[in-house]
Amino acid sequence: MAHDFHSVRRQSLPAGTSVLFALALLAVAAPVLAHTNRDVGAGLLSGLLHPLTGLDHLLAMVAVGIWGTQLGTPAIWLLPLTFPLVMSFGGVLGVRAVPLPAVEIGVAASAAVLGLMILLSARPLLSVAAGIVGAFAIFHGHAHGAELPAAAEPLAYGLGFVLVTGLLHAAGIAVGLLDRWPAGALALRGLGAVIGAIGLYLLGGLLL
Amino acid sequence: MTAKHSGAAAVALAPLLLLRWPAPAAAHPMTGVGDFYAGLLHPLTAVEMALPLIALGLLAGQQQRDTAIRLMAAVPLALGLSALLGLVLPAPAGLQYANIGAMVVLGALVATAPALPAPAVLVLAAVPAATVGLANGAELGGQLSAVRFVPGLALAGFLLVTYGVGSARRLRAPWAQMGFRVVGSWIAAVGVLSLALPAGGQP
Repeated sequence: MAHDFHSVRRQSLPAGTSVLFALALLAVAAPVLAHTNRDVGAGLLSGLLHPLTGLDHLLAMVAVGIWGTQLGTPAIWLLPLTFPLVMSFGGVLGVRAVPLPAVEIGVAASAAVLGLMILLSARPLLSVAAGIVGAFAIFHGHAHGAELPAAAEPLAYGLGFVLVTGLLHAAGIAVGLLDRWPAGALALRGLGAVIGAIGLYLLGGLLL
Repeated sequence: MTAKHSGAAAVALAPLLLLRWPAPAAAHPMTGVGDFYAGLLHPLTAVEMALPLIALGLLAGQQQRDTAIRLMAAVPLALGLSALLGLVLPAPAGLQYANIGAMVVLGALVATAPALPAPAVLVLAAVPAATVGLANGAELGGQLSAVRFVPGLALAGFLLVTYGVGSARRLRAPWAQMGFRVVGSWIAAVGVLSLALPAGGQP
């Protein structure tokens, strides 16, 4: 009987192919993973993507870095340090569903105003610059925070969007290094005009 | 099935196998790679455990050399001892909030980089290390070998603090030191956000 069984198996499918087929089935089958880690991955991914999926968010974050570079030390690091801290308090308001008027308008206005600051190469007092950035950070934080409780893993979501926000600041600082050369400084001001114009366009879309 | 057909089947199945090859590193705990590695990886796979330890490493690196060396010994010791304690004691209520609070305090300290006396830094390091260790010990739940898991956990703490000390002490350029402070502000920001969440970090 055993002999018959083996002979049938040899006829129907070679051993190597059987093994390959079995392994392929393993590939198709979803592995049984612990719940928490898959959530961490999903939460982190959605947090990482959230600031990138809104043009106004993205431009404003890059603008913070560029403006900080135009202002020089200590603004170059103080603005990117201030922003996430203040943003987290805006995020708390969003998590707790505390209503904040005109959140999206505030986010779009941040791109318009920060773009204008870059265009003008404005150099206010450090406290004023930090105040402007901090005020807008509240709106950005609220917008991100409102989506945090619904995330697959809220802590990982929070980490993701804070991380990307900081990396966008870093990208802005990298671009802002052009300010060292006269032509680069001019290009930055042009970039500020573009950011400001897009911000105004988005703002107009919300207001009109 | 002819040899030609089996060859074609193998070619067709091979891409599926290649898809399968990079196994997702997701189990929490990761029993598949051994209890020691589970201990090593466990604190890195939860935000409220990893970020306080990363902040601790950076804070240690911002201190004087002697204090930094003491922290490199104190943190793994506190992690290991408290994890063993967590095996026999029930997890205190609000342990997760203690770890999230540690993110806020340690992240803010890294961001502001104040000059602190060595005893204060040791206490600031030992307390969060102990709460993270307790949380790890409490999650062992008899499924893993504590003899292997706890040394892995202590090694994770040692490595994180050592990397933090190494980075912060070797990269002395102003931009790098400012970068570490900005990372501290990120950790504090994640902590503040997380504190706003209801118990368990869930809505």
